[in-house]
Amino acid sequence: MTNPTANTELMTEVLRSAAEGVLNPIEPESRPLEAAGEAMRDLLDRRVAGKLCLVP
Amino acid sequence: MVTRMRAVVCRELGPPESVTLVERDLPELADDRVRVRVGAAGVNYVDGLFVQGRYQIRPELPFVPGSELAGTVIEVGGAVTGWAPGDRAMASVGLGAFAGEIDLHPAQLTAVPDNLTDTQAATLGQSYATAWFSLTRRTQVHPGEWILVLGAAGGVGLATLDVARALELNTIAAASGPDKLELCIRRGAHEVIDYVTDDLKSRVRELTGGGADIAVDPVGGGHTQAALRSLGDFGRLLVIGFASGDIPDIPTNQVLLRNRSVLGVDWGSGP
Repeated sequence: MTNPTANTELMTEVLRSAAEGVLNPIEPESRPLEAAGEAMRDLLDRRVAGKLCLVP
Repeated sequence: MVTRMRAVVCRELGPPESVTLVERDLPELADDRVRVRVGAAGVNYVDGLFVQGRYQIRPELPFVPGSELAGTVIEVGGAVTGWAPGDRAMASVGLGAFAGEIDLHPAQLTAVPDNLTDTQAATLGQSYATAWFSLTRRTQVHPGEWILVLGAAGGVGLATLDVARALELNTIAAASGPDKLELCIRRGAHEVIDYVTDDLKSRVRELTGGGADIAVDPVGGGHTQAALRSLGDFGRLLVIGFASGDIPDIPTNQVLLRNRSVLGVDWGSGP
């Protein structure tokens, strides 16, 4: 992050577009916190279609 | 008041499966921090690299992995203004997100738009920032141009498809296998290419009537050259990453031909 202001500006544009419905982010697959290791492994091995998140 | 928290801990660098889930006391909240209950933490390629010790930065051990999250503010330090318990917040943090709670500096927090779930917000930052930076800062795109997205079913790939659709581009999603391609179609890809069974270059040329205008490559390896060769006049190849683990060589005669450009995308260090 060499230029925090520019990065904040970029994220502001992304979030405004998402709030306006111009962007439509995918609902990711959820796994429990216990599955963190396996989730990182699956991602490194490119076995995941779509996005992945952990729900504590 | 919550007094104990759960967190995923990496005690030594190694395979991702070596991390453990621990429960520990929550420290007292510092005056200049905001405590967020994590609703969801996005899992990114970079998290696994941290744990394996393959990232440029090697964090001090032990550490809690997890680079982005969304959740709800549960406590606010005495010196903090602008945030209150109950507010929804998201953050890109580098480390620490794979936990029940996290203490953050208010400057790290961004409000979550009402129409996004925690799970969506937690998986949006890194991928959409990369895609948005690519298509609005590193190159100029025009409605109706053809964009080829490699690794299209991955995090950056899907975000790029969404941003490209919003910018009114024609999209070709390349991925391996029917499941991933089906996901790309559901996510609005106009055309799909299975790079296991199709010849990438000739298929792109055929679909676009001469060559793609933009190719986005978060994968690297053998597909990069095919993507470069699939570009038409003034085509741009955006180099985003090397998920395949293989950093490819680029023949510069293929850049010279048809006045193509190869552009690096490192959004964290620009513009």
